[in-house]
Amino acid sequence: MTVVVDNCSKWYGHVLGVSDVSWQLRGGIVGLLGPNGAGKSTLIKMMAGLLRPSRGSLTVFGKSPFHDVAVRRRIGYAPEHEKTWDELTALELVTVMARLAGVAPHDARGAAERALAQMGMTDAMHRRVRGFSKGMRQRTKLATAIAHDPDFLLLDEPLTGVDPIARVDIVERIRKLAAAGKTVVVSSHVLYEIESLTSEIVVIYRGQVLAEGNVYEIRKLIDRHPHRIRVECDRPRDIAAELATADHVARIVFERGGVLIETRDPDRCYDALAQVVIDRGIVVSALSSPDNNLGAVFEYLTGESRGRA
Amino acid sequence: MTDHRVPGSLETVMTIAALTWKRLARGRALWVGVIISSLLVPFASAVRSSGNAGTGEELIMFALLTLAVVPPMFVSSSIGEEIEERTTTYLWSRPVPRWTVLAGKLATLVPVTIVLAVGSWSLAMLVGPQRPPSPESCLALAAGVTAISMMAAGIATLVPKHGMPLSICYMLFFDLPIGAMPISLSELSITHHVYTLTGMFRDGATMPRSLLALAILCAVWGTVAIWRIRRLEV
Repeated sequence: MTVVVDNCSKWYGHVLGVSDVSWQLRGGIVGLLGPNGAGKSTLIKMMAGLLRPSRGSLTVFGKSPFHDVAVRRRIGYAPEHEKTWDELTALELVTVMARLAGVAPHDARGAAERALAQMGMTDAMHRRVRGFSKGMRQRTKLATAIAHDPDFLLLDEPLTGVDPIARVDIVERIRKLAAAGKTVVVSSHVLYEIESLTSEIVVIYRGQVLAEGNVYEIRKLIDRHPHRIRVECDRPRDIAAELATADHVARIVFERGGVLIETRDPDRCYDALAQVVIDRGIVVSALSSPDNNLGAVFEYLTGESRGRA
Repeated sequence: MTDHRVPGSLETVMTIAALTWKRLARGRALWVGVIISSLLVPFASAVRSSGNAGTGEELIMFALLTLAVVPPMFVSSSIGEEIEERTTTYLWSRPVPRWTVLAGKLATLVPVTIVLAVGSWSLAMLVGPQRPPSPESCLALAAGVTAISMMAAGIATLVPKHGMPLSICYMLFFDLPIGAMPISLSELSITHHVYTLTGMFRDGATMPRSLLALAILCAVWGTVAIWRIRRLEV
């Protein structure tokens, strides 16, 4: 087991960071999802050995990362903040980080060059970090996290402020790291960023884990939350008229250029919808299920939490 | 990954020291430090032209004033900014003991400050009283720089956001005034002991005592800094 979090809580004075979190991580890419201030960074910093739990325990590879110096050799951490040592070039920065992570002095420069190349920074590696764009800073941070070839990567908001092209590129590179056998934890408050990386998520809100697992499994847990199907078509009223009386349809909402159907039985609803479209010759331009998007799950889960509070 | 080598403490200190030097050399702080330290030379020239360049007492007082500013400027700002701007997260997430980060910074900043302090003192002595500085006075300044740097490190770990101004205020409004008082409280003053160690104005018999006092003050502030840095969470 890479990470075991057992009834772990963290307070900053009277402010709650995370509360009574229990969670285990075996491998692969896992997305930590939650709004700003939810406790994602606190959890990541505890896993990186920067914070110690106020209560409970947290181990990485069986050791406490705060107290056990050696286990941090196996961890690669890219913090959320942008600040680095701007006076250094990217190569100098990554080389220093590699050396401090235990890469032998004569290998450190080579390891830094490889890490920067992996992040697409070869052309800029001799430039000082001071002049870098946000995307280049993020890539450099990721290079500092991977230069010592860690087993476990903690990437705190690695896509924040990155332009769409760079985002696609960074996502692909993170996926490659996971494919190479690394365990990767990525945090974000932006749903589609996580979704583009993994379907394995942990939803955090107000310091608590609201749900974890595959996004589809999480969806199953939400039994009171009807499944939604959005149909963009030329005659939404015909579809509504046909499905309005079906017992599996909970609600129908007209939207611009289409209709949103909420159903308690998605399989039956998809069958009925297909039948209506064929029978009436309706032209469907798009069919989507917002519930397959993390956004719907997150909104529902956090809404539930607020409702309970 | 197969090799889980953890860097040795000395190796880490050397790496941090090299990093600190690179950042210092490329930043503005070094040049500001050079300017402040070298103010002693025109001051010596001014004292000499006023016809009062005999003992060098004015010079050592002025040198102590620069010591109140330059080491805090280097050490407190280096440590305080690192904590405040959270770049320590890069260092403390590595497999290195936290004290090595402190030691690495001091390993660069203390010698650089000693060179500035002793260099400007030597030049000032040549320009003012027109004699080379005594080895005792140079050693006294070196010891003083070390002790003030430890104090600055301690304060920076306690109050990272305002480490530099607080360290300078400590020196200007606590250390220097109590050092000038003829009471036992002056034993707590770094500048008092530096003044004694120069051997220029006080009985040489008190020098070992001053050296011991500086060593104790270094140890106390060093302990504060290490205790605090081990507990800090960023």
